Amino acid sequence: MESIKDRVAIVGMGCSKFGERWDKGVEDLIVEAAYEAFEDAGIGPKDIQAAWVGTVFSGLSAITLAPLQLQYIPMTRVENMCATGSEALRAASYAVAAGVCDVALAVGVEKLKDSGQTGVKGPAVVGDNSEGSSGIGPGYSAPASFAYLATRYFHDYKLKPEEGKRLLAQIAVKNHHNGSLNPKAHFQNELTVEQVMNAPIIAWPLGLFDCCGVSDGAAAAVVTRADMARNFRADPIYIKGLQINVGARQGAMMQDYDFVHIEENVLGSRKVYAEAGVKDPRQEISCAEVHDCFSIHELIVYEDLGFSPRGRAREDIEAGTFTLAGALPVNTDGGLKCFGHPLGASGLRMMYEVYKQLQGKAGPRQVKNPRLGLTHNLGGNAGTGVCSCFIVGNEK
Amino acid sequence: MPAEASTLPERSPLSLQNRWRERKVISALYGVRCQACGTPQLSQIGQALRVCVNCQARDRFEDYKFSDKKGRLFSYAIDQLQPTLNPPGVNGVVDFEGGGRLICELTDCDLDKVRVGMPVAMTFRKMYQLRGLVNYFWKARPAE
Repeated sequence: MESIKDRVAIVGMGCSKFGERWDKGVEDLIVEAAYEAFEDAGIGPKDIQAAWVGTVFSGLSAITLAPLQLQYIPMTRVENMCATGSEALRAASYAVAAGVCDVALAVGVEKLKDSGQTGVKGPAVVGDNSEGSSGIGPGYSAPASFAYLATRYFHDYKLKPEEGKRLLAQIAVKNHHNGSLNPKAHFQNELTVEQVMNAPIIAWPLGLFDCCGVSDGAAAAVVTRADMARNFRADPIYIKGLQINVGARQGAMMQDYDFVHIEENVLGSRKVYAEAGVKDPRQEISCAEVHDCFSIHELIVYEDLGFSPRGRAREDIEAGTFTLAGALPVNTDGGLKCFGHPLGASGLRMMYEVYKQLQGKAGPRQVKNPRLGLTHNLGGNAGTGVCSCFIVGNEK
Repeated sequence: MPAEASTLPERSPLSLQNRWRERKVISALYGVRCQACGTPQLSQIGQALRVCVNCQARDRFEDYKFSDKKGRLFSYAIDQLQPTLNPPGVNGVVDFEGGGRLICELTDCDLDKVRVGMPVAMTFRKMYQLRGLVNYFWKARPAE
């Protein structure tokens, strides 16, 4: 089995403005992101030899990409819950690595605000069949499915609700600070710890500002063979590892699952570190974009991905380790919390930020001397999920 | 008095066919116990279990009744958004004596007394009614 390391490079990326894009349709979002990626790569749409589009709800089949008017090339739609955008990038990268095409496009898109409803549409129960349900799942909201983690984390680490909520609030405050420096982020405002702690409860113990933005948006990447990358640009970003790790409801069905970690995160990150040759992620990863769908999950990701020792994320949060000025900046673009979470776009949006960071083009959010960047998604919830862990670098 | 409608999207329609296939789970909270490793297990979404979640043995199951087992609350979430007849939605991770876990709604409980480790028992309740079909299933209630 061969690793993907250093065989594929990203040579162009684009990302639409995220937010409540009432005046734009899914077609506008796709064109906005893809044409930025084409221009960034110095190519035109005719140079694309194959394409993958990731969307959860915003279109069936690759005909979703029809707005780009790519002319009769192989295209495929992929879906893997919140890892959907990452899955599109993985598919395009694997095709290039297989040698069946030299230039491929990955697009992720979601138009969530056309539903006119709060939250995310679709089956309320993970894995339920949208054509007809048994009806036995309780149908709680996504915030509730992550609230189980917070309840249990507070219990196991003996945090009073006030202490636990204050700890989580610091994550939302950090992400809003980063997002306020980013014109493409859904929200443009800073938050205070008090605002987060006093916000209306959505699913106890999580409040409104523990939950990420529900947004419209798209992001896109152009990938090519690593040995051709410098034909496109002087600063290509090389793929070091692409791992997807999927659960089978073990945590929801067996009592040995503790609800203070996510097994898919732990195993997926270990595999990507092995693939990329990372021995000590805390030291070697320069910046990370992780799946902060809910504040408690970002905390758990610090521990699952080996950024903090198990049970000790609190020390790192309080020390500012994951802020822009910290040793390992996390969610430098605002994260799902502030940049927003159009499901199918998010994985590629994360890669857009890491790509810009590694090229030194992240403006006021730039981290110092970055070498390796990580993106991470978790679809599903505590109990079972789809995890993606990708690593990219600016040196071959 | 009708509760205010949830702002969450409408649930998937109930499938009579699926509910007929899974009638033993729905009406009596039957799961299965693996004859290879002994693990009791219960589908979380009304699917037949064919391969063991613990040891991956295929089709080596005997019926196992969960409805009469006592349980304890491993974690919980109180959901202000949940479309439930009994708002706010109180949900728990229920660990059964003898093994097996179900994530389900709680009922008949005092919100201020819900806690990790709370003993619970299972009770057959009306979940919701959708397109003319009434959905009955099991909830956990405090058993102290």
